[in-house]
Amino acid sequence: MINLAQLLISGILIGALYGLVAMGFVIIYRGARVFNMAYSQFSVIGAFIAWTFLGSPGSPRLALPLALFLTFLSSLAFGLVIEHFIFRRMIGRPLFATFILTLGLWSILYGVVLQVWGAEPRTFAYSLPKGAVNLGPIVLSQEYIWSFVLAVIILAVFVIFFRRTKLGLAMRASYDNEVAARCLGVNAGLNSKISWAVCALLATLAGFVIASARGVSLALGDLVMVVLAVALMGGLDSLIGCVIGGLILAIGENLVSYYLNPFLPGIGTIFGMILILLVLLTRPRGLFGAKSIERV
Amino acid sequence: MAARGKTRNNYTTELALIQTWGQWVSLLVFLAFLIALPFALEQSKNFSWLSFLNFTLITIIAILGLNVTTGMAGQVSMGHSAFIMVGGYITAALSVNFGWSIWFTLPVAAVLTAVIGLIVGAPSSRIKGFYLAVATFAFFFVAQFIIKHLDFIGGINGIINIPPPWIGSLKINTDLEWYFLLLGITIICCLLSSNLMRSRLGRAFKLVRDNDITTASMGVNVYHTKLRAFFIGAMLGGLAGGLWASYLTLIRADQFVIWDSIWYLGMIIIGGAGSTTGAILGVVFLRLISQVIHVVTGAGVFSTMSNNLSVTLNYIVYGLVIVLFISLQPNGLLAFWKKIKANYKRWPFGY
Repeated sequence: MINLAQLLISGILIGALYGLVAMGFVIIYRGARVFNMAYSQFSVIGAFIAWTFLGSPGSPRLALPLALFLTFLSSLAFGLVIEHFIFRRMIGRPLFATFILTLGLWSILYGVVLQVWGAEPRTFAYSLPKGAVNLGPIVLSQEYIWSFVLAVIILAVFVIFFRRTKLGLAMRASYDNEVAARCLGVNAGLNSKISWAVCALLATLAGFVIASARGVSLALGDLVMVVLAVALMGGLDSLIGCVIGGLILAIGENLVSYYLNPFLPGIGTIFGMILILLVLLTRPRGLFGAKSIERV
Repeated sequence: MAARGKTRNNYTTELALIQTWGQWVSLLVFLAFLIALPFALEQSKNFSWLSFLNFTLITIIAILGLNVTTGMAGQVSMGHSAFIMVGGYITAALSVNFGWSIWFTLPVAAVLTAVIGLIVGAPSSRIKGFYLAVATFAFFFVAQFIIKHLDFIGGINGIINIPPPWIGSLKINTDLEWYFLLLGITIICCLLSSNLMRSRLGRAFKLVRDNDITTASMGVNVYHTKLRAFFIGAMLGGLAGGLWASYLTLIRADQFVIWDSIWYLGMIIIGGAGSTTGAILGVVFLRLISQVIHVVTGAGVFSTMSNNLSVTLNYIVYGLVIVLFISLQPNGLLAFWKKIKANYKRWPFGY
């Protein structure tokens, strides 16, 4: 029973983190209509840039606030560059063409990371506070609590942004009907820029948070790949769906890897993919997604 | 090339695959070139050329399959590498565990893989576009996971010592013999593929790709057409996988990575989706690029050895090529060729 409670609670904490990771993915889908397969690599690059500024535990380079500031600044620039040189040209092209394009981008970024930073794993000089927290018999790790808090705050910020601010409403309007939104004076180019910047920022943040718990390496990309499962489960265009999807995935992953691992070693790593298949086969629009997927 | 104003007088000439003597000549010259190629290379004492050619031929067979599923019928499959893996494993398991002849295991592997293709294609009635792509993407990982956990086919260690095929008393052991075997199979597959494109089914594929509703209103069963596309695609993938396994004489689940699937899609787009020639062009183009990378990074021409730089450059350049083609020339290399041909025909006039 205590085991189950432990699995559930740590699942909730990790689930919020997954939700945070998926948020950037959903925002780019809503804002620029791009199904970004390269998203996991955005996180990896963000984490490696953060490592470059922070340094490893033996040889720290910059103080944490300065390093984080520089990291986020460079990821902002990265997002804008990607938007300007690649995705600006793809506005009005079929969704599918941009999908393949993001596959190419994924490959490029993977190669760049492999070339610049190499394949060996690293750790940050500073990271979120570590250590265990005891809640009675339940043991939780501190960095997951921090990432949970972070995810909740960011989710709240984005929900308010999309519901209350003029810019957020404009972005939703142009997601709904781009031509009509343009006619009403919404700046579609600006929307696209903002979405890419926010996407890169969130990817970097997620990369930093995950990497501070599990180390910086290319394997981070596989972890972030679960956003596909999370985003598809929540419905590609719903922020709340992200968090719910993240919770389902994380709790399911915890339970499955605890109870089934003795019989099927490694089932936890594949659980996200199984979930993708299940969701797409049973309810393609996800739990909270808008009804129509695509023109038939 | 048919000159302007040349008319076809009966249906036989209209339907012929090769219509002019110019095409006959170029075809024969090309075939002679393909047959002479290994002998010319053998004299240069560079045998790794041959294994490069053989892998290219196997890839062409696989890509012809993906070209049916994705290029003709528009059902994006990111699981093609999984089909190759499954086909390879079936061939290997049947010929090693049961001692079946390769000429028996290859068709069995192709058909069984095609049945798995049907299962993968089954959701295509409900989900489209990149949703289907992501479903096949997930399928790849699940299939790999399952294969790694099936102990009777070697689990994570895979299968080794797959016996070579034979024709009569001739065992196909050397790269040269393999080359001619693969060349023959590839030519047959190319013929079938380009004839498929001109058949009723091929036209139905293209119709499904372009518009579902139009297809249905024409009286074509959309779902069955999609399933057939998956069936044929997976069948060729399985065939390629079987050849791959018996050429390498070993197979392991780790040999197959998701990047292969991505680059297969890239090959189709680079060549020109939906055409046999395009598929071949795409494969040859990307395979040659990887050799250029080998040369530039100093890994050695056509050597199987690769250094770190050539591996990472492979990722970067392949990705870059895909990005550039999608954003600048989405119709692929074939569109270039058609443009040249059109210009040649009407030269010196601009219309």
